[in-house]
Amino acid sequence: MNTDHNSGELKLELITKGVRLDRSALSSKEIVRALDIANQVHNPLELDLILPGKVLVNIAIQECLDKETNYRLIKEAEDFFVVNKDLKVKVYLEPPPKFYDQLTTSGKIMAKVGRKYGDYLLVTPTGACEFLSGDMACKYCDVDAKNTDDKSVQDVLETIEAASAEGAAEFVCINVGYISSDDGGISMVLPFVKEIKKNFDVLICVQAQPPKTDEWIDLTYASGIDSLAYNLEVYDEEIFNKIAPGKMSLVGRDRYFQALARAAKVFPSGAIVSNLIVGLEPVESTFKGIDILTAMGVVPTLPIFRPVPGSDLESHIDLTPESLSPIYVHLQNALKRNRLSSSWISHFNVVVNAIDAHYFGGEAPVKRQWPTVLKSKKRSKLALNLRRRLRVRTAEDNESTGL
Amino acid sequence: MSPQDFKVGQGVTVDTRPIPLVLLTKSYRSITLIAAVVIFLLIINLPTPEGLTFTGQKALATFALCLVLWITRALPLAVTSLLALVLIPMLGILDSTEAFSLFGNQAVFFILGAFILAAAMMKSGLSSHMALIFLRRFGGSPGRLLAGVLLVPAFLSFLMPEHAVAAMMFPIVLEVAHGLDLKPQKTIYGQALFHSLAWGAAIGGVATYLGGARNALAVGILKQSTGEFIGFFEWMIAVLPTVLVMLGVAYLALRRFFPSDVVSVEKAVKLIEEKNKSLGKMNAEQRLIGIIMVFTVIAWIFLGSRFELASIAIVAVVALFVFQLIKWKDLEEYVNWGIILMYGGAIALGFALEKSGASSWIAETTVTKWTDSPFLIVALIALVSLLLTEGMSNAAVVAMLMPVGLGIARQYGIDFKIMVFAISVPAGLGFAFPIASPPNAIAYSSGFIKPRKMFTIGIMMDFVALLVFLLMTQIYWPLINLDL
Ligand code: SF4
Repeated sequence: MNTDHNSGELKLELITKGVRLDRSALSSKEIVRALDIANQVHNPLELDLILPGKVLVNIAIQECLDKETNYRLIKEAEDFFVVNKDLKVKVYLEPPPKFYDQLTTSGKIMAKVGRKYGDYLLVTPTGACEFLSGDMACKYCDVDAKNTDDKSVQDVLETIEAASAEGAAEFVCINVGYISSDDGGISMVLPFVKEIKKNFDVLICVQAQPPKTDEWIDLTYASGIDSLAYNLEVYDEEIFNKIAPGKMSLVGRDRYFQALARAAKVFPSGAIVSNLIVGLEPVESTFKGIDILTAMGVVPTLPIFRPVPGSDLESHIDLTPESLSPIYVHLQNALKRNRLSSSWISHFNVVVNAIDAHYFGGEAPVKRQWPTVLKSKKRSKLALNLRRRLRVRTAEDNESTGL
Repeated sequence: MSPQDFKVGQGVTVDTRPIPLVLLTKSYRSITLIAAVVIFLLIINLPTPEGLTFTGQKALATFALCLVLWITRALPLAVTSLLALVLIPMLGILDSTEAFSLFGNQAVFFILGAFILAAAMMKSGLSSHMALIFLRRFGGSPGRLLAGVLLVPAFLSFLMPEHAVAAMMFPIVLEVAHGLDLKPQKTIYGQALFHSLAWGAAIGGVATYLGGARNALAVGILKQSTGEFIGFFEWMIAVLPTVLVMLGVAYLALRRFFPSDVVSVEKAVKLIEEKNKSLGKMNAEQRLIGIIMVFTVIAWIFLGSRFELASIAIVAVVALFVFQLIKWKDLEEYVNWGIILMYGGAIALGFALEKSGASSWIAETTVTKWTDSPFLIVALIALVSLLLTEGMSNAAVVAMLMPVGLGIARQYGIDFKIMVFAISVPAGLGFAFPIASPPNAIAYSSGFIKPRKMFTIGIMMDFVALLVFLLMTQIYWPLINLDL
């Protein structure tokens, strides 16, 4: 059997086609525990695999996209392998973090408060996104509408503490759906940011909707948030309007671009990201989106569309690894051209990113700027804080004494 | 403040310029602080020049230190004044009892009283009422509405600080602009309206002691240093013609340089009517404050020489509290306490320079050498005051020029009062930059004003103002016994 493979291509294969669990893997203690947690939080089973070359991939097992998939996850002795009829690749299965089944003092299961994705701990402190309660929901949305209960600052702090204890929270990513307010939900996030920064030595990124005015973007940076995502999701205007009715009517596509442009000026290079979901629009349109965003100083993240069974887009554009790889090469080249780094997202395991792109023949990842600075966490924090101190001004700094 | 404590409304912005520029801006303050100290030490350690005592030299060093700090604003203006107040006795320029007693100067208490009266007018809504009642009388045509937006703040600035008038009228003018569908920077009429607001408030602010507290500061320094005084009415009589001519010039300039691009202002008139209606009738509280204000002004005019202006102001303030028309809490919000501290220190510094002979020495060694025409000297001082006010606080200009100006006046036998006018009137007539005056800054924040246009037309207005002022010194002042 062939053990030669390309990790980037394999990642695409696994994301698009899914993987079946072999009986040998199914009975392993790691999978049993992962299943148990998935049941407790009413979420589909997701597994984190590390492919050779430290390529991270998150696979949703139950939503096996291609029922005919040939990929299976097997266990031999203590090792896991991804196999098909021609290939056998040793992979490392990341066991679900220990903190997942711990409870916060208010009795919440921590897996519901924070989910680990690579080095990121994703926290969604509010109830559901307001789009989900009307007919405004994004058509590609896979957010669990049932997981609506609010998490307190204390719940989040305890979860981060437990996650940090096992080294699972280098970055805390706070996710806010749509909240009908001028600030895009930032005011709601600020108490969390304040306490997290006070108690932990972590970087914080926030995924939110663009606020109505740029003043909020400046405040977002001033408040200590290190990275920000306003997710456009698709570049094509017509498709955007069709599949993101809430975003279209209550935020507006133009506002995404304006807000991203301001944010890219305010935050350090590479710290502003925006999703362009691959597979929701023609490839040419994704190319255009990549070009426009990178020229603005925004790093596109390119998650691959995984249709939720039973959803409107269940049988959307058919994706093949062959059709996908040029997109990542294009992304990598665009980042290089615009001297942008993608270090902030390098550990997102749910997206294929520029770091993986060199597996498809793209140029080597951009090494300048933040990736190298960020190598040492201490140094990076120092540099980031210093930058913030220098750049943030308050009215008091600007003002005369009013005499 | 830790970064996470920032709140919206605090005017948090991120400086996106290249880092070297940001660094330069940030270190500017430290550099100026060091420069100020170096200049201070240098002057104090130089050999004492002929004609100057060592005490005078120390007063001069303190003055130079404050000058750098006032101009650069490396410290808040009030803190610089407090520093002066501490340095004066520490360096033995005046003894400490004398230095600190200057803080009790009547100008300081007059300004305090004026601020409290203005606070009562603002808090009760009387000022908005007055603005709308007067504004209603204008309208009908774009030209008339423009005249209203010029004259109403000008008149209100006779009674209240100009910055308070501009701040109070700003939302009204903004609503008028929106009501007329005027687009920021695009519609000429929108630019005209906000220039009109700024110019009206600034020009009106020189007419009395109430419009610009710098006027009272100048008179405070005058009284402390020379024993002379300018009464409330006397001030108005001397300055009012300049104000009226400048309002006329301003109107013509607005019509000439901002030709109206709107045909009808009907919507704005309706809006003003509606706003006026929504405020309802003047309530008893507003009427009572109005009555106290009228009596106070009458008392300042007719009894000002018998009782001190400050005493009348404080009696009015007590009346406000007796009738429960204002609460102490409101004062904390509306009164600019910084200015009170700043004026106390500035007056002390002016007196120290005068008493130590430093101001006369500056006069002798500078202006005296260049010209011996009193008119040219007054013109020069007025020009310097006007130019400085374009870049720094009006009050700081007065604090800076008054001691020197009085020294020069003594040298040339110029009436001290003329020197007060020559410094404080132009100090209120800067039109070219947003930072030239608080009304300019407020109007500029609307987004309607184009900076370039503000500059070009503003410079022209500056020089017309200087010309009008100088013409008054020659044509009008001799008629009221102010001979130059
Ligand atoms: S913004 Fe769209 S994708 Fe995000 S949670 Fe709301 S509906 Fe779902």
